[in-house]
Amino acid sequence: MYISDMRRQLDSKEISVAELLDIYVKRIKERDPQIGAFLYVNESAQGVELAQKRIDSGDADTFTGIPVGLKDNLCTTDMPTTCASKMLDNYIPPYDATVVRKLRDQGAVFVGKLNMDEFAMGASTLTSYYKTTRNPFNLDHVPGGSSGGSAAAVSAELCPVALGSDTGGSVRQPASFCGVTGLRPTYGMVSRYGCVAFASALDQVGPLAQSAVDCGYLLSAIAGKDEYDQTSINSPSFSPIGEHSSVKGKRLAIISELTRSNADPETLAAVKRAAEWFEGAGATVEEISLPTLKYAVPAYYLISSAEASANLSRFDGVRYGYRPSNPQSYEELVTKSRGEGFGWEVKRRIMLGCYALCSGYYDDYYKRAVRLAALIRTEYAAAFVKFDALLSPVSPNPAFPIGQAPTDPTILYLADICTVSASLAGLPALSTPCGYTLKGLPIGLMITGNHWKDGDILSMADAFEREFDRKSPPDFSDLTKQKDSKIHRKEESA
Amino acid sequence: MAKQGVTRLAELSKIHFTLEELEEMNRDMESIMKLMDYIKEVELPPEPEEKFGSNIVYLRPDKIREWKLNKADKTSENTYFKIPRIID
Repeated sequence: MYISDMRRQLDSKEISVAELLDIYVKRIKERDPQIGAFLYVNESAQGVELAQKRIDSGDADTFTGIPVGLKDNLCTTDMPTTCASKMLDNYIPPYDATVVRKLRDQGAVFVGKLNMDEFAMGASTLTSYYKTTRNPFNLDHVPGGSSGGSAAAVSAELCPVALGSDTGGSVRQPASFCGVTGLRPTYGMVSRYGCVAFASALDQVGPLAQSAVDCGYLLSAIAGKDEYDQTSINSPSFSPIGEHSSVKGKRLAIISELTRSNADPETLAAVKRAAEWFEGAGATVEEISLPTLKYAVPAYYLISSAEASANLSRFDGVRYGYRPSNPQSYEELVTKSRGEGFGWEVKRRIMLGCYALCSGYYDDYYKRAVRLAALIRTEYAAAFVKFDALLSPVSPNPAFPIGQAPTDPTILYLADICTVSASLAGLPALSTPCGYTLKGLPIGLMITGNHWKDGDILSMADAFEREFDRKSPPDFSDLTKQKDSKIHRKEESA
Repeated sequence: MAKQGVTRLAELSKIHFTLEELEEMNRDMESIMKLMDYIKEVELPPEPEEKFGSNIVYLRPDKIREWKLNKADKTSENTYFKIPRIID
């Protein structure tokens, strides 16, 4: 169900806020044991009565009474915020993230906190300390990451919309894997205050929803300058999607470096078909080369890891977080807290970041990566003189099976090739479903726009979505019962 | 990357590793650094000319500061350390 449908039903009293929340909580109880999207379900969500009063008095805002899911790196005063890490087990922040506060002010009802890769480091949600999240389209496959819980929950209709965060593709890639729409807004459009910091020069909070229109609603609710995040400004040009989205006259280009690579043939074919649809709908589609993109992955990992090594230094077992039992010295308290509290991928990134910032290596790695990012921004700026938006796959491959995650970390890092360059350039980019593999796994199309053209790329995605035959995940409620009964029998025999 | 290099990085990162973990991390870092070295291939435009004051080096040396609190007494609960009073 879309936001506009829910809004209409709530305002016309066809359904109450409590009844709507109850529908989603019941669905979570029925389906989430198989999917594993939620780390915390907020059954007694705050604000239900208040939202109903606002609706009854005709004072409803867009999100009044609408259930919203939150990635578990967004601070909430009424629910734990763990970043899916042992380090922050049971941590309840003393303040709300600005995006959370804005939605609370609108009367949104938070249905729970969603699983993610630990501290948003990963592209599969497999680095979560707590649980494995499964792809609703095929429970044996990953949902992507790091906002894998958010994407899986929206895809399986466990919540109508959710917030994620995108540092190098963490909203777009899981949205692509789970067949939903996900937007990384322009850097600075949305406040990161209260979003646990990973790489501050790249982090952005973004919406995931069943449609580009719903992503637009959620973006409108959270965007804007925030005095607590000095990188945020009021967008000079964002406007919500109109009723008649059109791509007629738009100048589009396919990024050749991302479509001539060793990508999965089904993915490339789906993106090509989408480009043909845009042409048929009145846009022009050319090809463009951005030669520096092939260096974007190492540049991204060096910059983000360097920033992570600094940002995560606050987790020392003293101020908050995991603490080992009986440390013999202060040094042991700190090093063992970090050694035992962080997962392997997080430790890997901290070590890489520390290396990139070491004297003797700083010029060769970190500084070079920052200069390379500037070069990528220049290439994009030149492209947007000629084109309104750029098209590419979101990921070279669809979701991979859970048991076949590569052991070499660089294989997963290289799979970020399509998403990291927009992050380095601070550009808005979204993922919208554009096809399905023969095995039924979703494929995402990435539309990248110029700075502050978030509304434009959402409109283009909306025009495409109106024509695209979008599929829902298979109904696995029977499968849930079967698996539950198997678990029950196993427990009985044990 | 030499094994001593990984040990040194672990110290700078303030992360405790077992010997087995250090070996595994060493293998991972070797693979990761091969990918990172790729950016050395790209030809970057010349850096802008130095402006007044740009030759000041703001970087700290990679030095592990003394763990002064190691000298602090542990409390009977074996969880907390007594530290010098800094606010009266």
